[in-house]
Amino acid sequence: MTTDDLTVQVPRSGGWAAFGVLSIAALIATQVFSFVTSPPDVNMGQLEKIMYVHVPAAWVMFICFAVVLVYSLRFLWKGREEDDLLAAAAAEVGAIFNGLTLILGMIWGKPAWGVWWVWEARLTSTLVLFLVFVGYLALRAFVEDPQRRGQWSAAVGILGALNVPIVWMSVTWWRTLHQMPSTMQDMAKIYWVGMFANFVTMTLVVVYFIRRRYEAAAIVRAAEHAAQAAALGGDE
Amino acid sequence: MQASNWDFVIAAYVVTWVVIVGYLAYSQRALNRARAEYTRVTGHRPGEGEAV
Repeated sequence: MTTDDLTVQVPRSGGWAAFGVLSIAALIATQVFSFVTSPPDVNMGQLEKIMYVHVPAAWVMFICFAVVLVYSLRFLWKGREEDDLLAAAAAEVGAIFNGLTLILGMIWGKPAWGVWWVWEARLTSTLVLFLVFVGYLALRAFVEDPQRRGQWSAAVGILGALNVPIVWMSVTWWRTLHQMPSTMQDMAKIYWVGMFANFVTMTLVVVYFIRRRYEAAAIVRAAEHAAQAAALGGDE
Repeated sequence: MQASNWDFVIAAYVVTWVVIVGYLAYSQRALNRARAEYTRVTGHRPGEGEAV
């Protein structure tokens, strides 16, 4: 397959604008709900309210990188450019929420641990994950040939996504400062309901972001194909 | 002056929404630019489902 053989289907906008508005509205609603209804935690006090943004941000980050893994493998298997663009969209959104997770963790860490940052297993592995996907995005910006860009970034995306289980298990494998993952049994119902509700609505927002970023990238590529065809005098 | 726990909670929510709204605006601008470029090149609007 050559670069010119790649084709891109221009995605339909459909009801995505409405989906986005509803997703944002739902996220606002669940954040207000959890903020207002959850009582101060015995140990953390009001700081527990940070968990309704920090934990869902981390979970949706994992979802984004799972999407990168699936569509990168699919691109390498089938060679469809749409799969590469979708993986790239998910990588960008994942990197945004990865950065947000790190910042929120620091904001929580300062009052809870007394430091903004400590080189312990969870924080360090999450930072490494962030840097891998920043590298992924930088790589895409520097490689012009779409086929090569897709293959190289798929390789980096797969390697980056394979880091996710390390981040997830880091608190179990190396028991340092970051707390162990909480389960529904550990938490009072009011806390996990708020956390789960925010996870669901933040996932919807992330789905919207990935779709919009994919749509923009696919339209740009379709325009490039059309310009190329016009320059060659073709009539595809 | 010592910051209270509420200051950190408010900072967390402000950062979250700055990121979400900022990225929303960035995504929308990028999409509008892509649509304008497509229309300029092809002479018609994207979203008709055509393969190029």
